[in-house]
Amino acid sequence: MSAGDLLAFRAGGERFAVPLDRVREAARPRRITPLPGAPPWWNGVALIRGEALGIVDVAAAVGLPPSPPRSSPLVVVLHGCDHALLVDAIDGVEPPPAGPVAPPPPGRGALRGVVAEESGFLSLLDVDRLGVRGEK
Amino acid sequence: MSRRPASGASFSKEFLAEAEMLLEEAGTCIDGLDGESDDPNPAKVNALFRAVHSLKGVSGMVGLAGIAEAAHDLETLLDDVRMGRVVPTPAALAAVREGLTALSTLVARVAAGEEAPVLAERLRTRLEAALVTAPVAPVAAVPVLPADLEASLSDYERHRVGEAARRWKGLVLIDLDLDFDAFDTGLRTAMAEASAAGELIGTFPGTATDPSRMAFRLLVALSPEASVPELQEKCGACRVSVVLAGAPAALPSPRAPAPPETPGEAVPQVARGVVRVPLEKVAALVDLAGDLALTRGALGRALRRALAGAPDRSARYEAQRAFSQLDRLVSALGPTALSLRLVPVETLTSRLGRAFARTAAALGKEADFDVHGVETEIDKVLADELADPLLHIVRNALDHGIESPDSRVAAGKPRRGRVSMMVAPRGREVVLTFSDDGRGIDGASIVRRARETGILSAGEPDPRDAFSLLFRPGFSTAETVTEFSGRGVGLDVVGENLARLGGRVRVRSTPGKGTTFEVLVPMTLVLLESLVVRVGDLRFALPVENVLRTLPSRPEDALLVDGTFCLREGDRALPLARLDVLLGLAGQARRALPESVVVAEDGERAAAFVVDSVEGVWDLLVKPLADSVPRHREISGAAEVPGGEVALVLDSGALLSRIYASAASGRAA
Amino acid sequence: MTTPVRTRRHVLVVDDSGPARLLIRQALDGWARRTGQKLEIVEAENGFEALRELPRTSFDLVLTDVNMPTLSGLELIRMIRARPEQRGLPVVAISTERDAEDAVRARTAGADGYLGKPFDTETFDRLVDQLLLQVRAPEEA
Repeated sequence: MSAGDLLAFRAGGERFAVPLDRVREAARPRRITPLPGAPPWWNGVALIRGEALGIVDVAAAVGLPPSPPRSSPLVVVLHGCDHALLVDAIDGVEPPPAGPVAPPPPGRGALRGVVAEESGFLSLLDVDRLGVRGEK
Repeated sequence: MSRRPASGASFSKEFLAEAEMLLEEAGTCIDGLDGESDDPNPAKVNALFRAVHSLKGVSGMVGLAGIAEAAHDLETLLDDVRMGRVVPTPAALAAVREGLTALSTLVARVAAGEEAPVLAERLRTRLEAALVTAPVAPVAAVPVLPADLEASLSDYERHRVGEAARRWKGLVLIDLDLDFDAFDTGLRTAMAEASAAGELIGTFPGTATDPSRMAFRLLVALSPEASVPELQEKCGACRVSVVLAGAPAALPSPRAPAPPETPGEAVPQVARGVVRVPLEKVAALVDLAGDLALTRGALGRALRRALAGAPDRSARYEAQRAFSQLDRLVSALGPTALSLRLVPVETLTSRLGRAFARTAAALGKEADFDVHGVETEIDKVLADELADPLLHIVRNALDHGIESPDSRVAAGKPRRGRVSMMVAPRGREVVLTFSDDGRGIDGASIVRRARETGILSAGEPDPRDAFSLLFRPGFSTAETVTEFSGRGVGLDVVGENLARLGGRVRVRSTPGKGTTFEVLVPMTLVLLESLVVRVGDLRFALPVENVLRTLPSRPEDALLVDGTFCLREGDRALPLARLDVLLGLAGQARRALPESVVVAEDGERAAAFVVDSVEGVWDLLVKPLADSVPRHREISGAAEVPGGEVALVLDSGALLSRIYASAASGRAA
Repeated sequence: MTTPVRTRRHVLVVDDSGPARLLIRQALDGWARRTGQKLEIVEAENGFEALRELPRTSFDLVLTDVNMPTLSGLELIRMIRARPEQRGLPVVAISTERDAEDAVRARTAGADGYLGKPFDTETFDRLVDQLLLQVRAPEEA
C-alpha cells in the first residue's frame, strides 16, 4: 500500500474510486431506513457501529439510474464524512491512475476526474461534494 | 532522526495504533503474572505470547525489520515459557519485561519519525542471560483422549494436557450440540464459562453428524474448586466426560468452598464488596429493563381503559396508585441496570500515564503527569472508546505544548513541565480536563494560519471560538509537521471520535502559560425513553417527556376552528395535523384502519398529530444525525427499536413549530 | 488448448485485522487479473463469523489467519475438516511464522497450504494456482 492508492468499486454498472486513506471500512448494514425530506439520491440512514450515517446512492448521485433495493446493501464508510456510499460491489485496492486524468464532464460536480481504462472509464469521486451536490 | 515521508502516513498511523494496543495487552498480561511464578496462569502466558507474535507480524508487514527481529527474540522466549522448556522464575519474568520495554522504545522511536529503528544489541543476547531451562518433568498419568482429538492436537495443547496431568488437575471434555442460528452465542458462553472454571485448552469440532446443527467439544483442565455438574449446566452442554480424574479435590460436591491455593488468598470472584459481572449479563439485564418499560406502557393504557367509568372509586384509586409506584420503579430500573456498567476511570488514566512516560522519553521532553479524580465512574464501553482520543490529546500536549527543557528554563519556567488530568462528574456528564503549563496557543495565529492554508475561506468571518479551528481537518500549527500523530495534529479525528460518543471538547489557552483541553462525555450511554409510532412502513420516536397522551383517532374529537383543524383537549383546542402529510409521506397507500393521535408538548405549546398506530414506549439509544445529512428538520436522529427496525427520532420543538405553521396555513388534515 | 474456466470462484478470507484482509483481497485481485478468473470474496472477522458463512456458499478456497483471539485459526481449520461436506475444501493457513514448526501445526490441524506473511506475489500466486486451478467445474473431466 502506498500513498495515492484508491479503493475502486462499481455502482450503476460503472467503475468509481475514492482515495484509500478516506476509507474506514466496507459494511453491510442490516437495513437502510428511508429519510423523509432527503433528495432522491440519498437512500436514507443506517446505523453502522453505533453511528447514524446518511447513505448516498452513488449511482443516483452522479446521474445514473438509482440502484435497485437490495436485501444486503453494501456501503463504503469514510473517515471524516457523515455519509456512507452505497455501491454494487467492491473491486479492491488499486494503485493511483498511471495515465492522464481528464476533468469531469460539465455538470458532474461530484467527480474529481475521469480516467480512461481498457474497457470503459474510472471516475474519481469527490466524496465531500457527493452528498451535497448530487446530480439531477 | 530522519522524518518519515508523508506517503507512509496512513499506514504508519495504523501500525502505531495496533502496536500500542498489543504492547498494552502484553503489559497487562505481564503485570497479571507477577507473583504467580510457581503456577503462572497459562492463559495469560499464551496471551502474552500471542501479543508479541502479532507485533512481530504487523511490524514485518510494514517493513520494520528491527522491531520484527526484537519481537521474534522475545516471542521465542515466551514460547519456551509456555511450552515448559524454560522455568518462569522471577528473573525470567523480569527478562520478559525488559524485552517489552525494548519493544516499546522501538515503537516510540517509529512514532517520533525514525524510519528503521534497530536495537544496539540483539535482544536475544540480553534475554538469554536470565534463563533457567526446565528439567523434563515426568507425567503422572497418561490421559486417554479420543483418537481424532489426539491426532489434531497442536504441540502447545499437548503440552498443556501433560501439565494438567502433572499437576493432578481434572481434564474434561464438554460436548456442545447447538442450533445453527445461535451457535456463536452458545459457543462463546460455553468458552467463557469453561475459562472461568479452569483452563480452556482447546476448542474442537464435536462428534454430532447432523449438518443442520453445530457440534463442538471443549477440552478443559479444571481448577480444583470447579464443579462438573455446575459447569455442564452453565455451558448448556449435553454431556461432560471426564478424560482424566484430578486429585480427589477436583470433583467436589457443588457447594463445598475451595481450599485456597495460597494461604490468605481470597475467593477469586468476590473481594472487598465488589462483584465482577460479565458484560453480557449486564446487557441482558438492560434488555429486560427495556421489555419491562414496554409492558408497563401497555399495562398503563389497559388500566386506564379498564378503569374508565368503573363505579368503585376507592378500587380505582388503589389501582392507579399501585400503577404509579410500578411506573416509578420501572423507570428507575433502566438507569440502575446501566449503572452496573460504570467503572472507575482509573483503568483509563493508568494507561494514559504509561503512554505519557513513553512519549515524553521518545520526544526528549521532561514532564510529569498527575491525575485527580480517578474514582469518578464512567460507562465501561465509553471508557474503552475514549482511550484513543484521550491518548491523542496527551500526546499533543507533549508534542506541541510542553517545550524542551532548555526552552523552558530560558523562559523562566521550571525545567520539568506538567500535565494535569482532572476527572469529575458534572450532572449527567463526566468532565475530563487536561491542563499543561507549556507554550500555549495563540488564538490570533490560529486564525491567521487557517486563512493561509485555506481552511478558513476568504468569505468566512472569524469564528467566535478561534480554537474550534483546531478541530477542522488538515490543521496544524506546528512549523514543522511532525508525523507523530500521523497527520499533523490530528485533532479533527479526536473531535470526530468524541462526537460519535455523544461528547464534545473545548480548548482554552494562554500563550506562554499553557493550554487546557476540556472533554465532556455523557456518563452512560444515554437512553431516551421514547414513544414509537408508525406511519406506513416508517417508525418515528418522540421522547415521552414531550408526550402528553395518546388516544384513538375519532372524527368527533376534531373540530374546525377558523378554518384550522384542531383537537378538542379538555377545554382547549390544539392544532391537529397528519404526520404523513407533514413529512411528505402522504403518497403511501392509506390503510383504512383506525388511526391514533399523539398529543405532544415542548414545555410551551402543545399540538396533536395523527399516525397510523402507536407501537409502544421503549428506552432507545438515540444516535444523532449530522446536520450535513439532508432531511426534514424535524428529524434529529435515529435509534434501533426492539425487533431491529430503525425509528427516526423527532425533535419536538421543530415538530410543534411545523404543526403550528401548517395549521395556520390551513394545510394540515 | 483449453480456455480458462469462467465460473466464479468463491473465496473466504478470515482475519481479525482489517488491513490484513485488505492485503489478502488485493493479492487475490491480482491473481484474478493475471489468470482471468472471476472471484467472489467473502470476509470474516473471526472464526465464529467464518463458521456462519461456510454453510451459506459453496466455497472453493478458505484463507485464514492462525493467530486470532478466542477461536484460533487452527481451531477453525479443525472445525472445517470435521464437516463431511467440507472435507475437500482447500484451506490455507496464514501466519507470521516462516519456519517448519508452525507449518507442521497447520498441517496437523488439516490445512492444505501454508503462507507466511509478509508474502510475495509469486508465492501467493503459485499457491492459489495450485489450489484453485486444480478444482475443475463439474462439467469438466
